[in-house]
Amino acid sequence: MTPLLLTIDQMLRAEGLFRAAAGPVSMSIRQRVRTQLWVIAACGMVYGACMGSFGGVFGDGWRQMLVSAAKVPLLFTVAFLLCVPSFYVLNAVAGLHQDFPRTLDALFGFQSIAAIVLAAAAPITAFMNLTTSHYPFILLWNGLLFFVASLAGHFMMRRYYEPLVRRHPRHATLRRVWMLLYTFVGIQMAWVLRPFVGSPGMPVQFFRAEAWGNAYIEVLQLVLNAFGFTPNS
Amino acid sequence: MRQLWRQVDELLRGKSLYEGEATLAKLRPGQLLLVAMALGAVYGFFMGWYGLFSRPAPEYRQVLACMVKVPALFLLTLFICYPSLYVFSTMLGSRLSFTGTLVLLIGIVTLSIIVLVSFGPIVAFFAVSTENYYFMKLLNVAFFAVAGALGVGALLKALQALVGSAPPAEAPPSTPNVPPALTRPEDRFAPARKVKQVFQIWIVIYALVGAQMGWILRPFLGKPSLTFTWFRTRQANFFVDVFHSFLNLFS
Repeated sequence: MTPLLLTIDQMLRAEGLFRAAAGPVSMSIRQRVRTQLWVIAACGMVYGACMGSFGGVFGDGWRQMLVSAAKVPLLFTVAFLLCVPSFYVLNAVAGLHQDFPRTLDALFGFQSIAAIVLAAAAPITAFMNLTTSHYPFILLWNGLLFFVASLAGHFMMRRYYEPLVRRHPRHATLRRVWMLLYTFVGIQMAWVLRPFVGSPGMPVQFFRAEAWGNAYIEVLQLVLNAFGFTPNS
Repeated sequence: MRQLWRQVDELLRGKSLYEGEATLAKLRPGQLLLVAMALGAVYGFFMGWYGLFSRPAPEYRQVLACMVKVPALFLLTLFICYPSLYVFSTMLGSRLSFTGTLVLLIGIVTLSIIVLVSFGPIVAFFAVSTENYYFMKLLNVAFFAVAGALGVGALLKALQALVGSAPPAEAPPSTPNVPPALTRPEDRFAPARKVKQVFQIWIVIYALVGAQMGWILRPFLGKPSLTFTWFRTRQANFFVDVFHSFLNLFS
């Protein structure tokens, strides 16, 4: 427990093992990535469990907690795996392939910071779950938290990218490309992995049969409906 | 196999394209074509997943059709646009021979396909989870556009290396008496800039041919409500259809 907390502390301060320094990649890069993966898994699970506690802990509720705890790390890693090949090719085309180990380190840094921020907010979410029974509010709250977490992640990622950008200004563009790509895939991934919170009145499931669908289409349709456009079929 | 991989790697890093004729001559066009076709088939495989998951009964022939059609799209476009590229680049002062231009173009197309295939997992994920036909179509159009644009960008860079390596004919006038209006026309024909200007015309041709080639090879995704066919009858064109897809996205 203590080593994990120490690691998180180092990560947040960008000190020790996680010093975002210039210069050649140190030998510890593999060690760094391994720790980052552990942090993503642990923090994601903590948040997922709190997120899934909306239906209560007793009765069937604990199952939703387990399911959500598994899903949050899954959301991060699967979206990451889907995006990495194209990001590598884009880096190589831009002539930045020799920096890719450091770039990868920054990408993991983004995810671990986002996971840490989520885990830090987990008690608040649990408290909200306890005190509210309004389902749309909880959905909105979680969406907001994920947004804040990814903002924090991008802030940290920018720090990791500083030495890279100093070496080549094109890295700044690629960082934005990554943000776009990862968000685009991540939103759809979150949609597919529903339910995270578990709508009251619905049975606990790992996947929803009707969950397949496209997040962007559905959300834009909601917006269009809200403005009085009726879909023409 | 290993040598094949090294070729791809060097291509991706721009080693073999941007450093003039000598490195370009080392490329093996036959091997690259093989790689391009194989990778195109891989993207087609992922693209065809939509045919498996969007229909009540999975349509395996759609996967097969995509695996053939994606490489065909690139290769046919290549051969149609190749003569015009040769004429354009020769007029601009490139020293590449007829076959040398072909090697360059094959390298560029392979690069495009590598970029495209790297989007494969994302397309597969959306194909599995999305039912909306128009969204999938636009997503694929976007990925093809990115791949094509990066390929064309690399081609421009390669041509500039081939043409612009010659030193400027005259030293710029250093006397302050020369009014700037006199020097400007000279500037406009600086090799690098001229390449870009004339080359823009070729890019438009290439994009048009590519788009239209995609149109006659359709269906790639296969509209779920229609039965499977290898080809569709001719109607409208690519641009009209993309516009309609935007309009239909939410219906």
